Amino acid sequence: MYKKDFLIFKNNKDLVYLDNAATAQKPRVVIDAMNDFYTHNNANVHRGFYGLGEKADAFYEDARATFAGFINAKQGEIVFTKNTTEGLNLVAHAWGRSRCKEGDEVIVSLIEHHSNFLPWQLLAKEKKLTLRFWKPDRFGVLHVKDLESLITSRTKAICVTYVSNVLGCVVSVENIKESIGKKNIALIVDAAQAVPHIPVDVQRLQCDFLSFSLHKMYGPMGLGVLYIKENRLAEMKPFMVGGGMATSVGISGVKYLASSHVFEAGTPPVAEVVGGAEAVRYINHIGFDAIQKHEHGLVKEIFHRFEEYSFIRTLSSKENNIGVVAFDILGVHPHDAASLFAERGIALRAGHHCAMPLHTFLGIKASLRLSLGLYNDKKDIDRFFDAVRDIKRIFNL
Amino acid sequence: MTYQHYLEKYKLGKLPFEGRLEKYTKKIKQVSGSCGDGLTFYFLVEGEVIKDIGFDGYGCFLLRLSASLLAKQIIGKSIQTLLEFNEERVLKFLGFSVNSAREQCVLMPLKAFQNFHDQQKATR
Repeated sequence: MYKKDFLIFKNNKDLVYLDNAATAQKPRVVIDAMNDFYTHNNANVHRGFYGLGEKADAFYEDARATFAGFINAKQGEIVFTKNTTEGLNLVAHAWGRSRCKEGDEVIVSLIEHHSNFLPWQLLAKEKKLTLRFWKPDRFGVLHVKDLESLITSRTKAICVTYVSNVLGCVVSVENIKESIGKKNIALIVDAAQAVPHIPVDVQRLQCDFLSFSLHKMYGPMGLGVLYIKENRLAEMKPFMVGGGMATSVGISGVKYLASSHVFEAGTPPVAEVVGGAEAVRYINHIGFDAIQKHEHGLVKEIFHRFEEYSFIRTLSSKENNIGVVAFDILGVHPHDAASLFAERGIALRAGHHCAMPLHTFLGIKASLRLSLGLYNDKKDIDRFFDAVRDIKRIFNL
Repeated sequence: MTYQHYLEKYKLGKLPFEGRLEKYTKKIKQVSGSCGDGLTFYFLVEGEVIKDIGFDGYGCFLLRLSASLLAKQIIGKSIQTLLEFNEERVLKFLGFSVNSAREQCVLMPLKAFQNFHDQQKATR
Protein backbone atom coordinates (compact mmCIF):
# COMPACT_ATOMS: atom_id res chain seq x y z
CA MET A 1 0.00 0.00 0.00
CA TYR A 2 2.89 2.37 0.83
CA LYS A 3 5.35 0.98 -1.73
CA LYS A 4 4.35 3.61 -4.27
CA ASP A 5 5.85 6.26 -1.97
CA PHE A 6 9.31 4.70 -2.36
CA LEU A 7 11.15 5.09 -5.67
CA ILE A 8 13.56 2.27 -4.85
CA PHE A 9 10.81 -0.24 -5.57
CA LYS A 10 10.07 1.37 -8.92
CA ASN A 11 13.74 1.11 -9.81
CA ASN A 12 14.16 -2.44 -8.45
CA LYS A 13 11.00 -4.24 -9.49
CA ASP A 14 12.10 -7.64 -8.23
CA LEU A 15 13.24 -6.46 -4.78
CA VAL A 16 11.76 -7.95 -1.64
CA TYR A 17 13.37 -5.79 1.00
CA LEU A 18 13.37 -7.48 4.40
CA ASP A 19 16.47 -5.83 5.86
CA ASN A 20 14.79 -2.82 7.44
CA ALA A 21 16.52 -3.28 10.78
CA ALA A 22 19.77 -2.49 8.95
CA THR A 23 18.34 0.53 7.17
CA ALA A 24 14.95 1.52 5.80
CA GLN A 25 14.22 2.82 2.32
CA LYS A 26 13.46 6.51 1.88
CA PRO A 27 10.13 7.87 0.66
CA ARG A 28 10.11 10.36 -2.17
CA VAL A 29 9.08 13.22 0.15
CA VAL A 30 12.31 12.81 2.15
CA ILE A 31 14.52 12.75 -0.96
CA ASP A 32 12.62 15.75 -2.38
CA ALA A 33 13.00 17.73 0.86
CA MET A 34 16.78 17.22 0.84
CA ASN A 35 17.00 18.01 -2.86
CA ASP A 36 14.89 21.11 -2.30
CA PHE A 37 17.17 22.29 0.50
CA TYR A 38 20.27 22.03 -1.69
CA THR A 39 18.61 23.51 -4.76
CA HIS A 40 16.74 26.38 -3.07
CA ASN A 41 17.92 27.04 0.46
CA ASN A 42 21.49 25.87 1.04
CA ALA A 43 23.60 27.88 3.48
CA ASN A 44 25.42 27.07 6.69
CA VAL A 45 23.62 27.46 9.99
CA HIS A 46 24.56 29.89 12.81
CA ARG A 47 25.10 33.57 12.15
CA GLY A 48 24.49 33.81 8.44
CA PHE A 49 23.42 37.49 8.26
CA TYR A 50 21.65 37.01 4.97
CA GLY A 51 18.36 35.53 3.83
CA LEU A 52 19.57 32.03 2.99
CA GLY A 53 21.51 31.75 6.25
CA GLU A 54 18.48 32.74 8.24
CA LYS A 55 16.36 30.23 6.33
CA ALA A 56 18.88 27.43 6.99
CA ASP A 57 18.82 28.32 10.68
CA ALA A 58 15.04 28.23 10.73
CA PHE A 59 14.91 24.84 8.99
CA TYR A 60 17.50 23.48 11.41
CA GLU A 61 15.82 24.66 14.61
CA ASP A 62 12.29 23.88 13.36
CA ALA A 63 13.49 20.32 12.72
CA ARG A 64 14.80 20.16 16.28
CA ALA A 65 11.30 21.02 17.47
CA THR A 66 9.86 18.33 15.18
CA PHE A 67 12.16 15.67 16.66
CA ALA A 68 11.39 16.90 20.18
CA GLY A 69 7.69 16.50 19.47
CA PHE A 70 8.27 13.04 18.00
CA ILE A 71 9.62 11.71 21.31
CA ASN A 72 7.77 14.12 23.64
CA ALA A 73 10.91 16.03 24.72
CA LYS A 74 11.75 19.74 24.92
CA GLN A 75 13.52 21.35 21.99
CA GLY A 76 16.59 22.09 24.13
CA GLU A 77 16.95 18.42 25.01
CA ILE A 78 17.63 17.37 21.41
CA VAL A 79 21.19 16.98 20.08
CA PHE A 80 21.95 16.10 16.47
CA THR A 81 24.51 13.34 16.02
CA LYS A 82 25.74 11.18 13.16
CA ASN A 83 23.82 8.07 14.25
CA THR A 84 22.67 6.03 17.26
CA THR A 85 26.21 4.81 17.88
CA GLU A 86 27.62 8.32 18.08
CA GLY A 87 24.85 9.34 20.48
CA LEU A 88 25.65 6.46 22.84
CA ASN A 89 29.39 7.09 22.62
CA LEU A 90 28.67 10.74 23.38
CA VAL A 91 26.86 9.74 26.57
CA ALA A 92 29.70 7.41 27.64
CA HIS A 93 32.35 10.05 27.01
CA ALA A 94 30.63 13.32 27.87
CA TRP A 95 28.56 12.07 30.80
CA GLY A 96 30.08 8.74 31.88
CA ARG A 97 33.68 9.86 31.95
CA SER A 98 32.98 12.80 34.23
CA ARG A 99 30.38 11.10 36.46
CA CYS A 100 31.80 7.59 37.00
CA LYS A 101 34.83 6.87 39.12
CA GLU A 102 36.81 3.77 40.03
CA GLY A 103 34.64 1.11 41.63
CA ASP A 104 31.37 2.50 40.28
CA GLU A 105 29.06 0.13 38.47
CA VAL A 106 27.27 0.24 35.14
CA ILE A 107 24.54 -2.25 34.23
CA VAL A 108 24.43 -3.33 30.59
CA SER A 109 21.97 -5.82 29.17
CA LEU A 110 23.24 -8.85 27.27
CA ILE A 111 20.87 -8.26 24.37
CA GLU A 112 22.51 -4.96 23.38
CA HIS A 113 23.75 -4.08 19.94
CA HIS A 114 27.51 -3.50 20.16
CA SER A 115 26.79 0.24 19.99
CA ASN A 116 25.34 0.21 23.51
CA PHE A 117 27.82 -2.38 24.79
CA LEU A 118 31.27 -1.40 23.59
CA PRO A 119 31.20 2.26 24.76
CA TRP A 120 30.57 0.99 28.30
CA GLN A 121 33.15 -1.76 28.07
CA LEU A 122 35.69 0.82 26.93
CA LEU A 123 34.75 3.27 29.68
CA ALA A 124 34.84 0.50 32.29
CA LYS A 125 38.39 -0.44 31.28
CA GLU A 126 39.54 3.16 31.29
CA LYS A 127 37.92 4.20 34.59
CA LYS A 128 38.12 0.80 36.33
CA LEU A 129 34.35 0.48 36.58
CA THR A 130 32.52 -2.78 37.16
CA LEU A 131 30.14 -3.85 34.41
CA ARG A 132 27.16 -5.85 35.59
CA PHE A 133 25.24 -7.81 33.00
CA TRP A 134 21.48 -7.93 32.86
CA LYS A 135 20.74 -11.37 31.44
CA PRO A 136 17.65 -12.23 29.42
CA ASP A 137 15.66 -15.44 29.76
CA ARG A 138 16.52 -18.33 27.45
CA PHE A 139 14.36 -16.79 24.71
CA GLY A 140 16.37 -13.58 24.85
CA VAL A 141 13.63 -11.61 26.65
CA LEU A 142 14.69 -9.13 29.34
CA HIS A 143 12.63 -8.97 32.53
CA VAL A 144 12.75 -5.89 34.73
CA LYS A 145 12.41 -8.07 37.85
CA ASP A 146 15.87 -9.51 37.06
CA LEU A 147 17.33 -6.02 37.14
CA GLU A 148 16.62 -5.27 40.80
CA SER A 149 19.24 -7.61 42.23
CA LEU A 150 21.92 -5.96 40.06
CA ILE A 151 21.35 -2.44 41.40
CA THR A 152 23.69 -1.42 44.23
CA SER A 153 24.71 1.84 45.89
CA ARG A 154 27.55 2.08 43.33
CA THR A 155 25.32 1.79 40.26
CA LYS A 156 25.64 4.87 38.07
CA ALA A 157 23.89 3.85 34.87
CA ILE A 158 21.60 1.27 33.28
CA CYS A 159 22.12 0.81 29.55
CA VAL A 160 19.40 -0.97 27.64
CA THR A 161 17.84 -1.24 24.24
CA TYR A 162 14.15 -0.48 23.78
CA VAL A 163 13.79 -3.15 21.09
CA SER A 164 16.25 -5.97 20.37
CA ASN A 165 17.84 -5.56 16.94
CA VAL A 166 18.04 -9.36 16.62
CA LEU A 167 14.87 -10.66 18.25
CA GLY A 168 12.50 -7.72 17.76
CA CYS A 169 11.06 -7.92 21.26
CA VAL A 170 10.10 -4.73 23.11
CA VAL A 171 11.72 -4.23 26.53
CA SER A 172 9.48 -2.77 29.26
CA VAL A 173 11.77 0.23 29.67
CA GLU A 174 8.89 2.20 31.24
CA ASN A 175 9.05 -0.09 34.31
CA ILE A 176 12.76 0.41 34.99
CA LYS A 177 12.39 3.74 36.82
CA GLU A 178 10.39 1.98 39.51
CA SER A 179 13.37 -0.31 40.21
CA ILE A 180 15.71 2.67 40.34
CA GLY A 181 13.52 4.52 42.83
CA LYS A 182 15.14 7.67 44.17
CA LYS A 183 18.71 6.57 43.42
CA ASN A 184 20.66 8.79 41.09
CA ILE A 185 21.06 6.26 38.29
CA ALA A 186 20.98 7.33 34.65
CA LEU A 187 18.76 5.31 32.34
CA ILE A 188 20.36 5.18 28.89
CA VAL A 189 18.19 3.84 26.08
CA ASP A 190 19.05 2.69 22.56
CA ALA A 191 15.87 3.37 20.59
CA ALA A 192 17.27 2.66 17.11
CA GLN A 193 14.92 -0.24 16.39
CA ALA A 194 11.94 1.22 18.23
CA VAL A 195 11.45 4.52 16.38
CA PRO A 196 10.13 3.14 13.06
CA HIS A 197 7.64 0.82 14.74
CA ILE A 198 6.26 2.15 18.04
CA PRO A 199 5.63 5.59 19.52
CA VAL A 200 8.57 6.59 21.72
CA ASP A 201 7.77 8.89 24.66
CA VAL A 202 10.70 9.89 26.87
CA GLN A 203 8.33 11.12 29.60
CA ARG A 204 6.65 7.75 29.79
CA LEU A 205 10.00 5.91 29.72
CA GLN A 206 11.46 8.31 32.34
CA CYS A 207 14.88 7.89 30.75
CA ASP A 208 17.83 10.24 30.98
CA PHE A 209 19.35 9.63 27.57
CA LEU A 210 17.85 8.12 24.41
CA SER A 211 19.57 7.70 21.08
CA PHE A 212 18.24 6.86 17.61
CA SER A 213 19.08 7.16 13.92
CA LEU A 214 16.93 8.66 11.20
CA HIS A 215 17.97 6.18 8.53
CA LYS A 216 16.09 3.35 10.22
CA MET A 217 12.88 5.41 10.23
CA TYR A 218 12.75 6.31 6.53
CA GLY A 219 15.04 9.32 6.91
CA PRO A 220 18.54 9.91 5.54
CA MET A 221 21.73 8.17 6.62
CA GLY A 222 24.22 10.28 8.54
CA LEU A 223 21.81 11.78 11.09
CA GLY A 224 21.09 10.65 14.61
CA VAL A 225 19.19 12.24 17.48
CA LEU A 226 20.27 12.11 21.10
CA TYR A 227 17.83 13.09 23.82
CA ILE A 228 19.52 14.45 26.95
CA LYS A 229 17.19 15.07 29.89
CA GLU A 230 17.47 18.72 30.88
CA ASN A 231 18.87 18.12 34.36
CA ARG A 232 21.67 15.87 33.04
CA LEU A 233 23.12 18.57 30.79
CA ALA A 234 24.99 20.26 33.65
CA GLU A 235 26.68 16.95 34.52
CA MET A 236 28.31 16.68 31.12
CA LYS A 237 31.56 17.86 29.58
CA PRO A 238 31.98 18.62 25.86
CA PHE A 239 32.61 15.62 23.61
CA MET A 240 34.01 17.30 20.50
CA VAL A 241 35.24 20.86 20.51
CA GLY A 242 35.33 23.33 17.64
CA GLY A 243 33.07 25.76 15.81
CA GLY A 244 29.63 26.74 17.03
CA MET A 245 29.84 25.42 20.59
CA ALA A 246 31.61 28.18 22.56
CA THR A 247 30.56 31.69 23.62
CA SER A 248 34.09 33.01 23.91
CA VAL A 249 37.49 31.61 22.98
CA GLY A 250 40.79 33.16 24.03
CA ILE A 251 44.42 32.07 24.15
CA SER A 252 44.10 31.21 27.79
CA GLY A 253 40.68 29.61 27.88
CA VAL A 254 37.20 29.04 26.56
CA LYS A 255 33.64 29.47 27.71
CA TYR A 256 31.33 26.81 26.33
CA LEU A 257 27.66 27.16 25.47
CA ALA A 258 25.41 26.04 28.31
CA SER A 259 22.82 24.54 25.93
CA SER A 260 22.73 21.20 24.15
CA HIS A 261 24.29 22.95 21.12
CA VAL A 262 27.58 22.41 22.95
CA PHE A 263 27.51 18.86 21.54
CA GLU A 264 27.16 19.97 17.94
CA ALA A 265 30.66 21.24 17.12
CA GLY A 266 31.31 21.91 13.44
CA THR A 267 29.00 22.18 10.46
CA PRO A 268 26.04 19.89 11.01
CA PRO A 269 24.33 17.83 8.28
CA VAL A 270 21.59 20.39 7.63
CA ALA A 271 20.09 18.73 4.55
CA GLU A 272 19.86 15.45 6.49
CA VAL A 273 18.16 17.29 9.35
CA VAL A 274 15.64 18.71 6.87
CA GLY A 275 15.11 15.26 5.33
CA GLY A 276 14.86 13.68 8.77
CA ALA A 277 12.12 16.10 9.84
CA GLU A 278 10.26 15.16 6.66
CA ALA A 279 10.56 11.47 7.64
CA VAL A 280 8.94 12.30 10.98
CA ARG A 281 6.08 14.06 9.18
CA TYR A 282 5.74 11.06 6.84
CA ILE A 283 5.43 8.66 9.80
CA ASN A 284 3.07 10.99 11.66
CA HIS A 285 0.90 11.32 8.55
CA ILE A 286 0.42 7.54 8.38
CA GLY A 287 0.27 7.23 12.17
CA PHE A 288 1.64 4.55 14.47
CA ASP A 289 -1.79 2.96 14.86
CA ALA A 290 -1.89 2.16 11.15
CA ILE A 291 1.81 1.17 11.06
CA GLN A 292 1.46 -1.19 14.01
CA LYS A 293 -1.75 -2.74 12.72
CA HIS A 294 -0.18 -3.41 9.34
CA GLU A 295 3.13 -4.73 10.69
CA HIS A 296 1.50 -6.87 13.40
CA GLY A 297 -0.60 -8.53 10.71
CA LEU A 298 2.52 -9.46 8.75
CA VAL A 299 4.37 -10.66 11.88
CA LYS A 300 1.44 -12.91 12.76
CA GLU A 301 1.38 -14.38 9.27
CA ILE A 302 5.16 -15.00 9.25
CA PHE A 303 5.11 -16.86 12.57
CA HIS A 304 2.06 -18.82 11.48
CA ARG A 305 3.64 -19.90 8.20
CA PHE A 306 6.96 -20.74 9.88
CA GLU A 307 5.09 -23.46 11.78
CA GLU A 308 4.66 -25.39 8.51
CA TYR A 309 8.41 -25.98 8.34
CA SER A 310 9.95 -28.20 10.98
CA PHE A 311 13.48 -27.32 9.79
CA ILE A 312 13.01 -23.65 10.68
CA ARG A 313 13.81 -22.65 14.23
CA THR A 314 12.63 -19.19 15.24
CA LEU A 315 14.82 -17.45 17.79
CA SER A 316 12.39 -14.55 18.17
CA SER A 317 9.20 -14.83 20.07
CA LYS A 318 5.98 -13.60 18.45
CA GLU A 319 4.83 -11.81 21.60
CA ASN A 320 5.71 -8.11 21.65
CA ASN A 321 7.45 -8.44 18.31
CA ILE A 322 7.67 -5.26 16.25
CA GLY A 323 8.67 -7.02 13.01
CA VAL A 324 12.25 -8.19 13.48
CA VAL A 325 12.43 -11.98 13.32
CA ALA A 326 15.58 -14.02 13.84
CA PHE A 327 15.55 -17.63 12.75
CA ASP A 328 17.73 -20.37 11.43
CA ILE A 329 17.35 -23.20 8.99
CA LEU A 330 18.57 -26.27 10.77
CA GLY A 331 21.77 -27.63 9.22
CA VAL A 332 22.17 -24.75 6.77
CA HIS A 333 24.75 -22.09 7.52
CA PRO A 334 23.03 -18.66 7.69
CA HIS A 335 25.41 -17.20 5.08
CA ASP A 336 24.52 -19.91 2.57
CA ALA A 337 20.82 -19.44 3.22
CA ALA A 338 21.13 -15.64 2.84
CA SER A 339 22.90 -16.10 -0.50
CA LEU A 340 20.10 -18.36 -1.73
CA PHE A 341 17.51 -15.79 -0.60
CA ALA A 342 19.53 -13.07 -2.37
CA GLU A 343 19.56 -15.04 -5.64
CA ARG A 344 15.75 -14.91 -5.43
CA GLY A 345 15.63 -11.15 -4.95
CA ILE A 346 15.12 -11.29 -1.20
CA ALA A 347 17.26 -8.99 0.93
CA LEU A 348 17.70 -10.16 4.48
CA ARG A 349 20.65 -10.45 6.82
CA ALA A 350 22.83 -13.24 8.15
CA GLY A 351 25.42 -13.09 10.86
CA HIS A 352 25.64 -11.96 14.45
CA HIS A 353 23.91 -8.61 13.71
CA CYS A 354 26.44 -6.75 15.89
CA ALA A 355 25.04 -8.54 18.94
CA MET A 356 27.69 -11.15 19.69
CA PRO A 357 27.08 -11.26 23.47
CA LEU A 358 23.43 -12.20 22.77
CA HIS A 359 24.42 -14.90 20.26
CA THR A 360 26.94 -16.31 22.71
CA PHE A 361 24.25 -16.30 25.42
CA LEU A 362 21.83 -18.13 23.10
CA GLY A 363 24.59 -20.59 22.20
CA ILE A 364 24.60 -19.85 18.47
CA LYS A 365 27.25 -18.36 16.21
CA ALA A 366 24.98 -16.64 13.71
CA SER A 367 21.38 -16.34 12.63
CA LEU A 368 19.19 -15.17 9.77
CA ARG A 369 17.12 -12.07 10.34
CA LEU A 370 14.20 -10.68 8.41
CA SER A 371 12.94 -7.26 9.40
CA LEU A 372 9.85 -5.44 8.22
CA GLY A 373 9.14 -1.91 7.12
CA LEU A 374 5.77 -0.26 6.62
CA TYR A 375 5.92 -0.88 2.85
CA ASN A 376 6.25 -4.67 3.10
CA ASP A 377 3.14 -6.52 2.02
CA LYS A 378 1.63 -9.96 1.71
CA LYS A 379 3.29 -10.44 -1.70
CA ASP A 380 6.71 -9.99 -0.08
CA ILE A 381 5.88 -12.64 2.49
CA ASP A 382 4.68 -15.00 -0.25
CA ARG A 383 7.95 -14.48 -2.16
CA PHE A 384 9.92 -15.13 1.03
CA PHE A 385 8.14 -18.44 1.59
CA ASP A 386 8.58 -19.41 -2.10
CA ALA A 387 12.31 -19.11 -1.42
CA VAL A 388 11.98 -21.14 1.79
CA ARG A 389 10.38 -23.93 -0.27
CA ASP A 390 13.25 -23.74 -2.79
CA ILE A 391 15.79 -24.07 0.01
CA LYS A 392 13.84 -27.05 1.37
CA ARG A 393 14.08 -28.71 -2.05
CA ILE A 394 17.78 -27.94 -2.56
CA PHE A 395 18.81 -29.46 0.76
CA ASN A 396 16.14 -32.18 0.90
CA LEU A 397 15.01 -30.85 4.26
CA MET B 1 29.09 -26.07 -11.61
CA THR B 2 27.25 -23.19 -9.98
CA TYR B 3 26.94 -22.53 -6.26
CA GLN B 4 23.45 -24.03 -6.26
CA HIS B 5 24.62 -27.13 -8.17
CA TYR B 6 27.25 -27.76 -5.53
CA LEU B 7 24.70 -27.25 -2.76
CA GLU B 8 22.28 -29.66 -4.43
CA LYS B 9 25.06 -32.22 -4.91
CA TYR B 10 26.37 -32.26 -1.35
CA LYS B 11 23.27 -30.95 0.50
CA LEU B 12 23.99 -31.13 4.23
CA GLY B 13 26.62 -33.86 3.86
CA LYS B 14 30.36 -33.75 4.12
CA LEU B 15 32.54 -32.54 1.27
CA PRO B 16 35.56 -34.45 -0.03
CA PHE B 17 38.48 -34.13 2.44
CA GLU B 18 36.16 -32.84 5.17
CA GLY B 19 37.04 -34.48 8.47
CA ARG B 20 39.99 -34.71 10.79
CA LEU B 21 42.98 -36.79 9.65
CA GLU B 22 43.89 -39.56 12.05
CA LYS B 23 47.52 -39.22 11.15
CA TYR B 24 48.94 -35.78 10.42
CA THR B 25 52.20 -33.90 10.80
CA LYS B 26 50.87 -30.33 11.00
CA LYS B 27 47.65 -28.66 12.15
CA ILE B 28 46.62 -25.09 11.24
CA LYS B 29 43.63 -23.27 12.71
CA GLN B 30 42.24 -20.37 10.70
CA VAL B 31 39.32 -18.02 11.35
CA SER B 32 37.45 -16.13 8.68
CA GLY B 33 37.20 -12.35 9.00
CA SER B 34 34.74 -11.19 11.64
CA CYS B 35 31.92 -13.69 10.99
CA GLY B 36 33.09 -16.21 13.57
CA ASP B 37 33.61 -19.12 11.16
CA GLY B 38 36.77 -21.14 11.61
CA LEU B 39 38.30 -24.33 10.25
CA THR B 40 41.18 -26.50 11.37
CA PHE B 41 43.32 -28.00 8.61
CA TYR B 42 45.36 -31.20 9.02
CA PHE B 43 48.35 -31.91 6.79
CA LEU B 44 50.29 -35.13 6.38
CA VAL B 45 53.71 -34.34 4.94
CA GLU B 46 56.36 -36.83 3.91
CA GLY B 47 59.63 -35.23 2.88
CA GLU B 48 58.59 -32.32 0.68
CA VAL B 49 55.32 -33.89 -0.46
CA ILE B 50 51.85 -33.17 0.97
CA LYS B 51 50.40 -36.70 1.12
CA ASP B 52 47.00 -35.91 2.64
CA ILE B 53 44.82 -33.02 3.83
CA GLY B 54 41.70 -32.91 6.00
CA PHE B 55 39.67 -30.15 7.64
CA ASP B 56 36.94 -29.71 10.21
CA GLY B 57 35.24 -26.90 12.16
CA TYR B 58 32.32 -24.51 11.71
CA GLY B 59 32.00 -22.83 8.37
CA CYS B 60 29.62 -21.90 5.59
CA PHE B 61 29.38 -24.00 2.46
CA LEU B 62 31.53 -21.63 0.38
CA LEU B 63 34.32 -21.79 2.92
CA ARG B 64 34.18 -25.58 3.09
CA LEU B 65 33.84 -25.94 -0.69
CA SER B 66 36.88 -23.74 -1.25
CA ALA B 67 38.83 -25.79 1.33
CA SER B 68 37.78 -29.01 -0.38
CA LEU B 69 38.64 -27.86 -3.91
CA LEU B 70 41.97 -26.46 -2.78
CA ALA B 71 42.85 -29.68 -0.96
CA LYS B 72 42.10 -31.69 -4.11
CA GLN B 73 44.48 -29.50 -6.13
CA ILE B 74 47.30 -29.74 -3.62
CA ILE B 75 47.41 -33.32 -2.41
CA GLY B 76 50.39 -35.14 -3.92
CA LYS B 77 52.24 -31.96 -4.71
CA SER B 78 55.26 -30.42 -3.00
CA ILE B 79 55.03 -27.73 -0.35
CA GLN B 80 56.79 -25.40 -2.77
CA THR B 81 53.82 -25.69 -5.19
CA LEU B 82 51.67 -23.76 -2.71
CA LEU B 83 53.42 -20.59 -3.84
CA GLU B 84 51.68 -20.94 -7.21
CA PHE B 85 48.26 -20.45 -5.61
CA ASN B 86 46.97 -16.91 -5.27
CA GLU B 87 43.58 -15.29 -4.74
CA GLU B 88 42.90 -14.90 -8.44
CA ARG B 89 43.55 -18.57 -9.10
CA VAL B 90 41.35 -19.73 -6.23
CA LEU B 91 38.42 -17.57 -7.37
CA LYS B 92 38.91 -18.94 -10.90
CA PHE B 93 38.88 -22.62 -10.06
CA LEU B 94 35.79 -22.12 -7.92
CA GLY B 95 34.07 -21.69 -11.30
CA PHE B 96 31.31 -19.25 -10.29
CA SER B 97 31.33 -15.67 -9.11
CA VAL B 98 30.65 -14.65 -5.52
CA ASN B 99 29.75 -11.21 -4.22
CA SER B 100 32.40 -9.22 -2.40
CA ALA B 101 30.89 -9.90 1.03
CA ARG B 102 31.53 -13.61 0.57
CA GLU B 103 34.94 -13.45 -1.07
CA GLN B 104 36.49 -13.72 2.37
CA CYS B 105 34.78 -17.12 2.81
CA VAL B 106 36.33 -18.41 -0.41
CA LEU B 107 39.78 -17.03 0.30
CA MET B 108 40.17 -18.12 3.91
CA PRO B 109 41.45 -21.66 3.15
CA LEU B 110 44.13 -20.16 0.89
CA LYS B 111 45.35 -18.12 3.86
CA ALA B 112 45.50 -21.28 5.97
CA PHE B 113 47.51 -23.04 3.24
CA GLN B 114 49.87 -20.06 2.94
CA ASN B 115 50.37 -20.06 6.71
CA PHE B 116 51.09 -23.77 6.50
CA HIS B 117 53.70 -23.12 3.79
CA ASP B 118 55.38 -20.35 5.78
CA GLN B 119 55.48 -22.41 8.98
CA GLN B 120 56.90 -25.46 7.17
CA LYS B 121 59.61 -23.33 5.57
CA ALA B 122 60.46 -21.66 8.89
CA THR B 123 61.08 -25.02 10.58
CA ARG B 124 63.49 -26.16 7.90
